[in-house]
Amino acid sequence: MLLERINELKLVETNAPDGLYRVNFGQTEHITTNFSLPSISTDIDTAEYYVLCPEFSSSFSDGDIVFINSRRKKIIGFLCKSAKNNTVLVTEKCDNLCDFCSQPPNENSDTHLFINAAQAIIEFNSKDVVGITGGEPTINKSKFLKFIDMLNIANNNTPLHILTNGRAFSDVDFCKEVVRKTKNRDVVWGIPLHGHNQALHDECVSSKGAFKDTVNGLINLSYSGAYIEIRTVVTKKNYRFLKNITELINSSFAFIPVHAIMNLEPKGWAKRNFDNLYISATDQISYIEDCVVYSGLINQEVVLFNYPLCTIPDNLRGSYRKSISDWKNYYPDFCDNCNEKELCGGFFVSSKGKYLDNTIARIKL
Amino acid sequence: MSDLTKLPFNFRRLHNSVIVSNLAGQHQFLSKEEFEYLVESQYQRIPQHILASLESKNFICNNSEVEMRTKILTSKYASRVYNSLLPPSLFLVVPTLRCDHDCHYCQVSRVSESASGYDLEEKHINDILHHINFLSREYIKIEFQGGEPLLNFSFVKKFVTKAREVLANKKVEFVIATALGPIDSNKLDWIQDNNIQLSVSLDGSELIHNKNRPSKQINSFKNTVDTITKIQNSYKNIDISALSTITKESLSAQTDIVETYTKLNLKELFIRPLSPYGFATDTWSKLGYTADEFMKFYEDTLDYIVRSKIKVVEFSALLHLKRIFSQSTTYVDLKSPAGIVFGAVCFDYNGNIFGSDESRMLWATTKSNELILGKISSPPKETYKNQNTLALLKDTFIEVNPGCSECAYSQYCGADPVHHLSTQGDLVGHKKNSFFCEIETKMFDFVFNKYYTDNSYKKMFNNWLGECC
Repeated sequence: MLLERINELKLVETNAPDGLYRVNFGQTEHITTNFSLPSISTDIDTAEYYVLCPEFSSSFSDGDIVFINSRRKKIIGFLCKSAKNNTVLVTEKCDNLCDFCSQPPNENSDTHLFINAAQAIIEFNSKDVVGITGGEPTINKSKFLKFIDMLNIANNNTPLHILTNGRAFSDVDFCKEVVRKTKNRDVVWGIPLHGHNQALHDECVSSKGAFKDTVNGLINLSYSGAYIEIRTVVTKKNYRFLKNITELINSSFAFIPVHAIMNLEPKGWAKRNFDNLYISATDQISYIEDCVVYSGLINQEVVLFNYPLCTIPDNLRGSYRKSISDWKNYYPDFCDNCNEKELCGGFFVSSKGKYLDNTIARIKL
Repeated sequence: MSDLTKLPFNFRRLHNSVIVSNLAGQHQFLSKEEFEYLVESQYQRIPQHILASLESKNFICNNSEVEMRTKILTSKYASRVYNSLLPPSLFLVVPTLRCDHDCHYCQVSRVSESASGYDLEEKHINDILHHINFLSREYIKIEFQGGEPLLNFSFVKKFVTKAREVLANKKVEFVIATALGPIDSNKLDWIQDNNIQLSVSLDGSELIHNKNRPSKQINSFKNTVDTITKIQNSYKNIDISALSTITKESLSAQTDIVETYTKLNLKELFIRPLSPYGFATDTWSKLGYTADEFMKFYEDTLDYIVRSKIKVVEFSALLHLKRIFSQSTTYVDLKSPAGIVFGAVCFDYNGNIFGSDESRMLWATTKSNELILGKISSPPKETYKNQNTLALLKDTFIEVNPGCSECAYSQYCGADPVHHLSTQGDLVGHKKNSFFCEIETKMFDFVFNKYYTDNSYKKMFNNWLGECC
């Protein structure tokens, strides 16, 4: 599984077959439903399913959802109350082939992923947002609709942040169906747009026709009143056109609450293509500035993700977000004496070594 | 590049440049040469960043994208019309037509302070609130207009108290448009305690202000200035804004207004041209001017602000900028279809309801009952669907109005049917003879030209947009 593992522990022994379990130390009351997962704890004497793992009880709490993989001797935190971001993977298939993909797709079967995700979300029953990611979650429309149905039938109302390339929404009927099925749920749709025209976007996602599908999808979804966050990953190919992407958003769709400009994460295929893709943050800034200033004029919110704060000039700081999660970031040695470390998201751990943006010299002491 | 194609757009030539605009509400400033290249499809000669903007803003596209781009333009245009047709948030209430001023440019035919029969009766309060509640969504601005609303202060107080009760689940702001004559500490206390904003007129220097706004009781300029100072010193929570109506008198003294405002530490200035209706013809010849005369004055005033780096925001320019850049529909003059009912609804002292303040003004002089939407006492449900309302609205989609349909500014301008009805006897009017069209065209020329050719203006305008969004 390609899940971002927030919490992965070494399993010593278990009687539980591989699968999802609900952590139950008996500290909180749990109401079992038709959809309940089996519970698991460290109590070898009384629990139906137990694990032996020294860190288990300090890592998880009642209600967390874990995945047991006895073959690989692993316990994976699937949905955890202590995590800042909970994200579940529903498929690894994708109809885009972005050359910077952090979780490269494959053709593996995905039905079990959808079912695991739905069961886990229902059982976790969180009021906080859970992320849905892929692959492309809507690549199989009927599976995606069934997934939403499962949550609805269980009366689950967990808010979702769904990362999709939006192509499926070029199908008006599908779009209507999804909007109808999610009308009582808070959903943020994270949809990428990497270029202001077909040539550039299609090149970035290595898929002919992707731009047309995504733009048509954005038209349908935005005019349905959906809450959309458009995401642009900045590379050598598109950094000079950031303002143009904002122009396209402004001139083409209904209100888009957020346009996120994202610095490249050196992960997955982005590592393989790093030299062809990565443009240093310092070289991006004048283009980012054009984009942010223009966004201010047209009342479009722009946010900057995955940048070290020292690369962002004062007039753009309102758009800066400390976005790299605590478990994914680090601060290189040259950050040691920086007095703005607290405000800064730092660097991706995966950028250590040759992927580190070494143009970043303007450190505030 | 040969596979690029043009999508529909309008254009207007400025000095050495051309503004193009399209149904998505987008514009692009082009040099004469760039425009010629665009027209002649010599795309390779257009600088890459301009070409990219033209493409992003749906002026041109790849041949294979035409169907998609057409969908974009039509859906975007539909949504812009939809935004113009959202329920109104501005409601004007006229507690009295009596006034202590004798302003020469008064357009509401105000009556003397002691006249009887010109007050809105308190029994109407519930009905008005019923109408407001029926028409509005979450945000409401209720503005008391006159006459001088403070001459019927007990009505204002009762209205506000009742409104807070009836509209408890909505967000309501109150404004009193006042000449500040009958104001005293008791009233100011109440105004501050109730979080009411004040909108006042301040026309420039003492000489000009008092010429424009004479009063038998008081020195209007001195009273206005003293009251503003008193509020700034002792009533810091009262939000006060001022506007300046420009008459022939003002034209020769372009720095007076800015200097008066600066001295008073007012950060906002709103320069308004006269509207030539509600007047007798001889009044216009005494007070009026040509559009060129007004624009000369207006440009000199803005030049003075930009060169002297005074921190004051001029709202006429700002409202045009907001319309251009963020397609704002909050300014009733610049809406298509017109801001009749959907821009503002006016409840007059005599129980009539109008679809705009201008309708009320025109009715005051012409008594044309076609302008009346209905009566305060009639049920809201039946008031806003009558034939006259529809007639006032249906000819005001300027994208298809003769004289507007080919104009590059039709994406940003407005129709002002009441103006054209009043000056030409027709809701659409011949735009060639329209003072409204002439002023607005020159206004947009000015704003576009300065924004794109003068960096100090661009900086100032960007700041205004940034601060006042």
